[in-house]
Amino acid sequence: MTRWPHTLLAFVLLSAWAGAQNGAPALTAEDKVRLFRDNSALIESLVNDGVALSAAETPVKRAEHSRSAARAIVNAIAQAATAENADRVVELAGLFRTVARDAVVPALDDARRVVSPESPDGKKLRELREQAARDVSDVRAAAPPTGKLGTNARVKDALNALDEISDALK
Amino acid sequence: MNCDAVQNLILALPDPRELTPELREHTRGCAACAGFARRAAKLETVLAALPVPAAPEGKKADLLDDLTRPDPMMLPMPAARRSGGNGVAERAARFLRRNAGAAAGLAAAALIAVGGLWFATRPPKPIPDELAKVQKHPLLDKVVARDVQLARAASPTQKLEALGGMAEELAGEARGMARLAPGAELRQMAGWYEKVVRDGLVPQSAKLPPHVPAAEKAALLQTIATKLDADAAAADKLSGEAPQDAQPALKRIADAARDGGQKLRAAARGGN
Repeated sequence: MTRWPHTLLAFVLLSAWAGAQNGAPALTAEDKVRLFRDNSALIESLVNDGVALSAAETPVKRAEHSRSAARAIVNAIAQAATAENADRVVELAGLFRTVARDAVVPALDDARRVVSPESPDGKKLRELREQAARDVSDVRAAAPPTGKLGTNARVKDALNALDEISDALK
Repeated sequence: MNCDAVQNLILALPDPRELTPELREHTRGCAACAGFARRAAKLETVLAALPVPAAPEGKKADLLDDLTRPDPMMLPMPAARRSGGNGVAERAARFLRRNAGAAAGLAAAALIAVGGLWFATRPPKPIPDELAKVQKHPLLDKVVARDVQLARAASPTQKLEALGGMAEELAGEARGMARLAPGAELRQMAGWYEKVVRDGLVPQSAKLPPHVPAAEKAALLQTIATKLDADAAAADKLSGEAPQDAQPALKRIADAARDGGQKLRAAARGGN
């Protein structure tokens, strides 16, 4: 007796599911060109940092170039914040978090294990750690909690996700 | 139990509002299935609340009579009535009652056909501005990932692999943009590609440590050189078809790839 209601229910659910399959919209030619223009300066910096990272022979150099890549993203976040583009701030904050968490922090930690704190490299390393911590502060400052961006829920979430970076850099 | 199985079992329940302990256990830890179960339960509730016309008076008694009537179960076809609209309606109703399954199937097929027709002919849904703004730039994500890979690379071999990947992605992006972007932007991309090959891949190929066996070095460098050859061939081919202002950038990419490939092969032969 319940076969037909169940079949109907399955059909309705399947239809609802099929209707919900909107997927990510494919990028149009205009989108591609616009995205390229928006990001070309940042990509150029990141390509240069990537090549410099490949040439880095010491942990301090690796930390320096990793931090440089992170800084390039911070600068792009500041521009996006000035333009009050919350979505771009969120996207870039995510990329900053990736670079800081997976490149800067491990590079600084690796370097600290092999560099004497009193050496010139040790001093350089302390400076880099401070600069990296300042980068995180700069990202937060780009979207102050009382401003239009700072009250955006997604921006708030993206900035809250940076807490782990601040903790790791202490 | 995977999510497909769980969702099928939810659909098979007599009442999806009452999940079995196993299904409840799964939905507790799976947001997708929990949402599915919620929707199924809601649908059940909504269906139950649909207004149903009241049965004609005496319908229950007729039904019980039908069910308890002695044999034969197969009734002879009644003689057709020649007059009166009621006769046709009754026959139709009787036909529908006897062929409820076929009628429901036919109705479902008609519904699917109408739905399909609507789906095929509906106007494209415009992309909302909010959605358009959050489009991610795939190349930016890839370059960030390569930078992280390079920061974590512990050996020249790993650096070569990361740089090779970055070069390949830049060449691919340039090819994708060759018909879209103005020449200046393609030249910028060609510059990035040249830098990765000239200042990244080629110097790293000379830094492979002596303890890496010569055959292993040769295989690695040969693999990357082959990819550079492919980049060169693809850029050459495309430059014949791309707009004129894109051609110099594609040629630069092809030249850089060929030059890099030759140097990597030389390093492979030299066993650096």
